[in-house]
Amino acid sequence: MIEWLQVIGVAFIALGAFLIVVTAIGMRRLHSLFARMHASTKPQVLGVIVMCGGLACVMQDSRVSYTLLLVVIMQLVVAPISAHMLGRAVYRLKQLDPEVIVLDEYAEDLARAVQHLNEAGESESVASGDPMPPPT
Amino acid sequence: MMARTTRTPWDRSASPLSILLLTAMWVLLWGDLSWGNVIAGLVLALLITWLLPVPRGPRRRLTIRPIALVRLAVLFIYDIFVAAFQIVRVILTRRTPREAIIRVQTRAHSDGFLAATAGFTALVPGSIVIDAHRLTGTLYVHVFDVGEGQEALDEAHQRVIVQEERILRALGSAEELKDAGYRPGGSMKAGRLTEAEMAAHRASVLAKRGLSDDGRPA
Amino acid sequence: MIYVLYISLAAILVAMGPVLHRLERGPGNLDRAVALDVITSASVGVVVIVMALTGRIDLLPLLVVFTSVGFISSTTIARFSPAESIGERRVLTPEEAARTEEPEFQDSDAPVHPDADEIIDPEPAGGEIR
Repeated sequence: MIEWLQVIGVAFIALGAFLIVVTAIGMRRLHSLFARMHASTKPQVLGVIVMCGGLACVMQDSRVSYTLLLVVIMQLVVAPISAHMLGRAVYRLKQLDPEVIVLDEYAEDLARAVQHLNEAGESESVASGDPMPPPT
Repeated sequence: MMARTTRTPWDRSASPLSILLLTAMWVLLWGDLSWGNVIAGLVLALLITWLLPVPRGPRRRLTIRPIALVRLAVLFIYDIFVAAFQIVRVILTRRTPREAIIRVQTRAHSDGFLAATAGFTALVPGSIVIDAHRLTGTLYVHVFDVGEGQEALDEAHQRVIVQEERILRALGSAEELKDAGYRPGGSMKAGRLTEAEMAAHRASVLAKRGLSDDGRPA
Repeated sequence: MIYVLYISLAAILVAMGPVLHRLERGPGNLDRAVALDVITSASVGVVVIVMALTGRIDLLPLLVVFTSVGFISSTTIARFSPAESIGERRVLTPEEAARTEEPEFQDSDAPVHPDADEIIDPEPAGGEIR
């Protein structure tokens, strides 16, 4: 067992724990749902990755390291998916806080799409397959 | 195209890359690279791709430029750290972040790169993709903390475009790079195609597909 | 060195307090989905620290399972949650409570089952059970 590598591993685990703790604090302090989603994606994913790296340094076992590599890759792939689905749902269900948002081009495009639907008539747009007109 | 009357099970979705990735996942799960694990992984991968077929996308050659790939990976890791600490700073100083939702027109002409850009953007500083319009390749990005003024929004916009260019240069073939309007090559300094080069490329693509200039069959 | 690990474990467990606060209060189900996501990642963190403290390797599949399955819960909630009216949320500000309409369904108009009296107050079958 390499001693200094274990010390580095414990340091990484402590850093990861700090990031997870800050994410949890952010759940209470951040006031908008989108901001909480940002907090649940970035520091949290980095926290788990750094903790897995620290664990690999502490255990120094190749079997453990390979599986931890798999866990890290899966975290990186999975976090954007969950953030995207939640963001989309938040927007569609109108649960956002409009005061903090400075510029909202998505709303403009959605409004234009609704207008396009109303003008063209619903059956025609559904038949054409793509109800949302491309943004200019 | 000849019509086939029978389909073998391997036609459905057994691309070699997916079988390789599934086997690698199985081997990584058990940790040691022994023959038993590899063979079990192969059997499971074949079984899964046979029983649960995924619709095949258009065939692409995977072009890997090693230096660009290494640059992508290193900058990505650096960006993850920067992003996490930016949010940590906002949380610990109790600031109310100013948010914005911007529309970004991506330049790649394929769904795979749109998805890859969306995935990368969710992990790098400041942005999460909320929605995407597949046909035009538009991404709607929610930005976490913009400064004052239009330059901050433009900077966020530019970050997504630069991220996409990095991915394209690491994994895209020369054809795809030219479709997106970049000069082929791994280095980021290769730059964009000029108007004349874009027109020439477009003409050659249309000619290859047997269409005339306005897109109709020649 | 071990104390650092113990302190980290305690910090993560204590930090679940604000997340539970958000889980309870968060207006709307999507806030609760995000809080669940954070709890899942914190569970991964706790398992990592336990593995580092005790040196057990057999907890490794736990990490894989938490990561791969944990995101499905929040994604499913996001995908299938319907639009709620303001009156259905549990925690309302006073303005929102004033804005909530009365429910349209009036119970007194509903048709009553002919045996309703017996259903509500049935005679005990074989004597009372003390």
